[in-house]
Amino acid sequence: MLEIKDLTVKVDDKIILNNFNITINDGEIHVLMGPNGTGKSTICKAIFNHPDYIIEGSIKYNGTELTKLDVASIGKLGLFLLAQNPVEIPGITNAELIRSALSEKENKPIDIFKFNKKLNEVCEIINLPKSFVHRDINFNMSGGEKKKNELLSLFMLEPKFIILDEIDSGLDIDALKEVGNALNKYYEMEHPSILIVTHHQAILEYFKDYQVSILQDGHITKSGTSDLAKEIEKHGFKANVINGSKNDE
Amino acid sequence: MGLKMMNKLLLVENTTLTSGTYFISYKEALNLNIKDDVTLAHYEEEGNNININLLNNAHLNLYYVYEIKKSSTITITTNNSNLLKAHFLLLNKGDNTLEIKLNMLGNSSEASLNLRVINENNSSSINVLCTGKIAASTIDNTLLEDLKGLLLNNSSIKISPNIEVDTNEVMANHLVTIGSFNTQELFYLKSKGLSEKEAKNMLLKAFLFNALPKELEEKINLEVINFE
Repeated sequence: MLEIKDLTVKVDDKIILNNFNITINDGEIHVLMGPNGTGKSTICKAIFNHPDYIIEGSIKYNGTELTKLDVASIGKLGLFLLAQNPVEIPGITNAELIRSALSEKENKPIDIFKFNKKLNEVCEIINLPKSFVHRDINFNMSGGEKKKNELLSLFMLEPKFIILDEIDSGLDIDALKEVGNALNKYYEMEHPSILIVTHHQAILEYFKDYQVSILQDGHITKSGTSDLAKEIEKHGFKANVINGSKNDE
Repeated sequence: MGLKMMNKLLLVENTTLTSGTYFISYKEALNLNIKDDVTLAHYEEEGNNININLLNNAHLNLYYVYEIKKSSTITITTNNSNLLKAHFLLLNKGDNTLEIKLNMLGNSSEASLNLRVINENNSSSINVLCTGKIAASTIDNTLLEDLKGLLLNNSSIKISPNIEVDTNEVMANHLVTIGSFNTQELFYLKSKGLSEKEAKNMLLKAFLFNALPKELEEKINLEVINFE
């Protein structure tokens, strides 16, 4: 379970998030929606205690205070961030990264035979050409390829808490379908908690039950269920956020 | 921190290399002629000077993997219709100056000088002087200098990109960047559970050896160890 209480996040002197509170239970899918510039991506990185942020308040994952941990330790706890624009790293292959990450997580060398076998299986599941395993991380890939490439790491590292930061951004209909189906498949297999940050309803069609919160001015102004996301899609944020009451379902 | 190349061909005198892939080292200053289409992977421990001369129509892919332990000079000369892609992958140990000189004497040649340099530790400093000269009355030459230094902690890197042009018909560019680790890349790797040390080691290897073809990687021990 992830519990964020009284969170304030600043960059230099600018307050991005203020009095932000949210609880996401084990296995829960929680959707965070909001207009541009309200701090949605900030919360994604703040959960990982991003070094650029000044963080006050509490972020606890299964009782562990994340604000006191470094980024790597948070990753090792089983949290996974899939960013809006995944970084390109020429010179490091997916296989190198995943192998090293698994080795550090398990604190022992990994069995190469099993590793390769699982890589092949994952490529089949997410419909990713096997050649991607030995390609440099997200380098020279299209937007859709990058998202699918990130799914390779996700399936291999088996996180228990997934943060999807506008994963639907830059995806065409076919790519969105592949990514959505793959995420749904992972959810069915592992039942992780998922925090989905998005502007749109489209990616949500791949999930059955989820909670929705609206972020405005650095804190949550309204919460509800999937109906709220549909309302947002239909009428926009202004109609739903201005004068909206918290926890109004 | 160290680099190693295995199965190297030791050259001790003036040599002409013809088409093929070569792994070389040498004990003394060396003069080398390049003929036809040559890939040259070079590992140098001693820091001796080297002169490389491309004969007409020669193509050279140079991978110069070098632990800099003393100041030295690399001189490359192009003649007519040459294609030169030179990669200098350098680990500096100590307080040194490396001079790279390219003389483009003929016509219709294309040359790129790609440098990646890091210092072994805080007390190391490197001064790279890279000078490309395009001779008078030559035509249709292209020169690109792409020179990058990765700063570790408080070490010092100075890179001087120089292009001296004595002709009107040439295309020449130079690019220099010196900086620390990319914080976004570091955050990405660490968010996957890699320790700071492991993430930096991976980025360090990527910075130095990204240009190295896969078929050459197995000849070189790419472990960059004991990074702190």
